[in-house]
Amino acid sequence: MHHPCVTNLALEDHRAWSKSGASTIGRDSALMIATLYTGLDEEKRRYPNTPTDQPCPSRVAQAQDGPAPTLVVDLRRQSQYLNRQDSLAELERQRANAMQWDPRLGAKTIGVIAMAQSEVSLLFVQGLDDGVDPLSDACLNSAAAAVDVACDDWGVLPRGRVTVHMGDFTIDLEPVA
Amino acid sequence: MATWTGHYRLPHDAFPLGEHVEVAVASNRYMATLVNRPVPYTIVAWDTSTTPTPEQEADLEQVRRAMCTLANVEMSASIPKLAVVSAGDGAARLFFRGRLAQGKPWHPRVASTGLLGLGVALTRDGTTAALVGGPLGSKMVVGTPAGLRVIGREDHDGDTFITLSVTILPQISAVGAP
Repeated sequence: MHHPCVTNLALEDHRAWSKSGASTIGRDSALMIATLYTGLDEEKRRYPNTPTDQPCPSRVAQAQDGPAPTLVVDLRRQSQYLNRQDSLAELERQRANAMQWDPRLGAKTIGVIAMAQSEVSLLFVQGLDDGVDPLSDACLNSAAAAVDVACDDWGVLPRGRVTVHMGDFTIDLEPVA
Repeated sequence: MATWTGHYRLPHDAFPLGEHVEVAVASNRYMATLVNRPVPYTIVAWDTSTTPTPEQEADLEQVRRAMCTLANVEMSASIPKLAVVSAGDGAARLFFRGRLAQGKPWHPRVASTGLLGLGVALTRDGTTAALVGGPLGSKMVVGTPAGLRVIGREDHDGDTFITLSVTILPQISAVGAP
């Protein structure tokens, strides 16, 4: 269980994100995020497949039309990473590690920052050679890959219509039966 | 494989330079539309579905730069993306091809955000996309390097949505896993 102060910081940080436009997740959703962070044991019970044994579990998925696989990183548990700058740094660190395993994984990295009910907040990093392009903050192929991983692989998101926030890009994704 | 249908609400501020701009590069004239949602794209009217040659791409890069200057927007290697749109054949009303980034190859398939941007452009008369492909209806077949893709338009309660599908390939593996 996280310390209440950490929870408050997390919530305030998310409100700051919302105000800055970096994330447009709503107030109710932010409250739900706070609930999730104060109820990790309850979340474990509801989602037994939640990958809790690693600080930042990652997974590789690829959209049919994507030029490269996407590295999907679960950053939800890392309350210290809720600051956007730190989250980006963690994604870049994971990206560098993944590139040692497969250089193609430097192209697209996406972090699952928060989720609540049918909303998910993502953070995207596009790689260009050894660096990243700080101006590319949305990729639908990678967003769909992340949602698919969260639903089907990690089991942390009920499969259904979900509103995805990615920078100032928001889209609803609905599974095709 | 799993397929997801995206529903993207049409933004009201997607055309910072209006429907289109004509840009002259040496003796060549190009018509381009700057769409800044969901990802900034410079969509240039083109006359063929083949990949632009390096010489043509140099001209297109000048067009992209001119659009950024006119719109006073920051430019990077990949933003705004560069795309060309030309008349389609067969079932396809138009052909769409996007570039990954400056100095990078053209996209081997198609960026879904690019198709959304194309859909946004098709909702407004006078854009390069609409001049080539006509208005967007409930379904429009678009030719891409990946084959035919379908985008569409839905109207609900005064809002317009661009729709398209994204298919995710079977899971690869966790990083570092055998």
